[in-house]
Amino acid sequence: MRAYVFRRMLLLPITVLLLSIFVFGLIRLVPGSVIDARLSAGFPGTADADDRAKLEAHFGLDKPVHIQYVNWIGQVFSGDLGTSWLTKESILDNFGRRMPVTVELLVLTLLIYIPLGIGTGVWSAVRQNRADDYSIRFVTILFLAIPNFWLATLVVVIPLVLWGYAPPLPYQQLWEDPGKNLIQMIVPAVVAALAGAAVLGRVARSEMLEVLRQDYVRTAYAKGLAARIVVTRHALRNTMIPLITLIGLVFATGVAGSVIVEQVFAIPGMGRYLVQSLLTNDLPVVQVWMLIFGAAFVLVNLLVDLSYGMFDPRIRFQ
Amino acid sequence: MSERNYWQRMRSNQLSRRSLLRASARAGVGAAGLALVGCGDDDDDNQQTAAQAEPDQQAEQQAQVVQQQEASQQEQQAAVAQAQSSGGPKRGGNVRIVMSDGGIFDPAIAIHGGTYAGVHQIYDWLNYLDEGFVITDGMAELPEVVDELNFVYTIKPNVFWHDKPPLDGRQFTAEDAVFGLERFGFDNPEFVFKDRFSLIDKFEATDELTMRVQAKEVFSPILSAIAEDNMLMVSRDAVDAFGDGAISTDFEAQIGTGAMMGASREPEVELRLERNPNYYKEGQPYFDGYVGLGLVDDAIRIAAFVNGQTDFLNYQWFGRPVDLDSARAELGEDAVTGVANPVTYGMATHIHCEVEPYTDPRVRTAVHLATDREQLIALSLGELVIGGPIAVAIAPYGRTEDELRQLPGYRSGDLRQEDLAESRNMLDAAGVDLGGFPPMDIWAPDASDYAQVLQQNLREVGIDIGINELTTADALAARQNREFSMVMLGQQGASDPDLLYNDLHTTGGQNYGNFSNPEFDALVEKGRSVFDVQEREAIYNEAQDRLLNEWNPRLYWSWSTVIVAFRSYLKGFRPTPGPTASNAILWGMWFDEVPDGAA
Repeated sequence: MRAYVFRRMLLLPITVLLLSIFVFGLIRLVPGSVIDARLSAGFPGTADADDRAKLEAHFGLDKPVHIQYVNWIGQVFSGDLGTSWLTKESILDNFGRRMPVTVELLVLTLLIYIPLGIGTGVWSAVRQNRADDYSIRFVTILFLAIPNFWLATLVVVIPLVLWGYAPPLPYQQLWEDPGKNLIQMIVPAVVAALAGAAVLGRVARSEMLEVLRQDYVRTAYAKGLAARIVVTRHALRNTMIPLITLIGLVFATGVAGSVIVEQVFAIPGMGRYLVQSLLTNDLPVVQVWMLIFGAAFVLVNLLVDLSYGMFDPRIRFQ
Repeated sequence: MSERNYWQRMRSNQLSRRSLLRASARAGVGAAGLALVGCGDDDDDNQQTAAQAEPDQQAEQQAQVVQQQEASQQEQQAAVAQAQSSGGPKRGGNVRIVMSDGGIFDPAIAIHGGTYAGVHQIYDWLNYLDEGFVITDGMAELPEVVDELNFVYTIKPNVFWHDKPPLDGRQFTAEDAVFGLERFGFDNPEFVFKDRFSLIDKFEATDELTMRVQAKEVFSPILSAIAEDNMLMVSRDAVDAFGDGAISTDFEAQIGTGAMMGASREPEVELRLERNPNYYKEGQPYFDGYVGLGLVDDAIRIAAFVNGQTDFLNYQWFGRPVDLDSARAELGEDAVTGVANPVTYGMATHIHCEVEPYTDPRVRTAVHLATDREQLIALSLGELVIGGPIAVAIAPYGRTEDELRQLPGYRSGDLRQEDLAESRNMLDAAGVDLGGFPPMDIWAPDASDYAQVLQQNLREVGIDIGINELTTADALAARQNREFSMVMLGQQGASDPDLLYNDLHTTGGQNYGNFSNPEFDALVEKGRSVFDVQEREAIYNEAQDRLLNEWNPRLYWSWSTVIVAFRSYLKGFRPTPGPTASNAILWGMWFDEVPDGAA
């Protein structure tokens, strides 16, 4: 296993390097630029080629793309994430301030997502073709179909119309006022978790149904074990491989979901930072954002792969 | 006065009930995109005159300005008097406003209303534009007009910098004013207003409180250029102490002379300002402080207002009539006050005059005649009004909807049929291939619906035109690089009819469609060299008439309506005209009763 982990870790920097080239190139394929935005939305009264050239030089865009890339990646690997073109704030400082917010949201999302998804899936499988199974299937499909930006809007609007309630503002840091912070974060976390939990529930149900039909489960029942024991100790563990994969993916979907949820609920996290940067063509921020979350996703996938062995002893890492 | 009536009429006529759900379902990201494009303060030389060349004209002009100002002040006093019946202006409370400052504070760089509505409360103007674009005394008295090239500003003796190092509450001087204005022209690639004063020869402090402005040539919009909403005074001491870059990004470096002083700022979360006890307007501001909340999504913004966590529904550019309806539906008509704010940006369709078939003015005029403005405006749910080349808010130059509706191209019913027939005749005369029009570029998704209406309008005269949807950035780039045949985008704001010079003069910076006509050039060149309002009005009337009847280098169809909505317990609100809808004048407002949470 050590050798496997070592090989995977060796691949990590190569993966990140390739990712960085992809991210850097992809962003530059997006039409428009910070120069155009500045010249057009700013004060284009007498903007001419000279103004454009000065701004390009100011942002380092006058150099060939490959030189820009080498400069940027060298800077990143030396620990300097650069500064925002828009606010000139250190990107590292911004990440330091925003990352805990998004991590908290992700953790809360996972705490809701995993028990809700697996719990409903297992319950639905055990109660196959009964009223509660049908109800759960209906609800999971419903939440699969509802876009989370719309759900987030409804979650704000409906309590307001019915009870005059709105989430307390402004955003409070966890370490400053945990109670208020939890009130502010729990609803966004639920919104972010629901669609994912619906997928997890659907997969958990089908996996569980398959496992419950296995001979060893029938044997367990024949031994006289209680249904609860059979399901939790014998069946559930054997459904976990695909579920773990899905749970690993929630990191990616959770980050993507945070982009919308943080906008709607005025949470100053990484998702909102990305939206703001995209809207203003703040490329240094977008590049670093995508690179870091890409690298984190690679790491999470490694952890997921390694965890397979915990649930299925037959899996060997070679 | 007719202008004011116009806006009052807008307020009363345009608003219709719609549900909160409908308003809230509008995408916040789209609004943010709109804001980023639409709120740009882009005019370089758009100013309103307050002075004259000849001495007698000067006196007359000064008298007009003073008269307008007095009328304006009388109105304000009337508003105060009205409020006094319920106890008069009261001090106290922290006004809570939705805002987003975008993290750029430097007035020489900041280009959107978010900053003006927030951090820029810390700064102040020498003169500013009050309602009706009237130049009004601020830290300096109204300028003495020595001649058409020389103006003298006298700084008021009770203007002080905030009591923070390195300024430590010292007197604001003429040297400060000179630096504050000259700084806009410093050689910094990010300074976007650097050509504002390209026709100024020099700013000069002649004594501690007197500044002389000398122009290189006659330029009638000069005084309103100095009074525009971005012309906020930054101090040399702060620049020296914190560095030029810090003025843009460091909240601690924000030291001005404004009604509010910086207290704290958490990016995108909360901005706190506190009352400046030494503000030069005696007894003001009435608020103890200012709390700006960083909310970008429509649903949470409306919810926070209805729920009582904010006092303004849509303080910046988000002043949509539909939002006011939503809030009133929840809180009641009387609980929410909506005031139309004269802004000068909107939507227009730029036509490239060097791209076939638009090289022929008859084709452009045919397009103008075929466009159904009523249909286009109807899509905006009250956010846009029908407009001509000069924004209606720029009185007396801009034309009202009623005036425009009498003109070919703006008419409806049978008269529209006449316009369509004339359009077809022009196309026949021009001999163009009606199926060969290049597709129009549009700013999607914001302009998608409008583009489809225009497409249908043009089909009525046989023109078959496709639609090419572009992202905001791409549409801006296409316009900036002149790589379009027709592009539907935001229309930049201004505070003076001289915007036509910038928009359409052969050398105009925003002449995206490369329109060039010596007669038009001569008209707008004359317009910026004349101080007399009536003479200017005649010039710009002729320019507008000929633009709409003969040249049509741009398809004009709308200007924005901004409805600033706030809780009715707030009194003394004063709409601020301008390109950015910045609504920066807060010092005269007060809480009639301080609500929970604002104490």
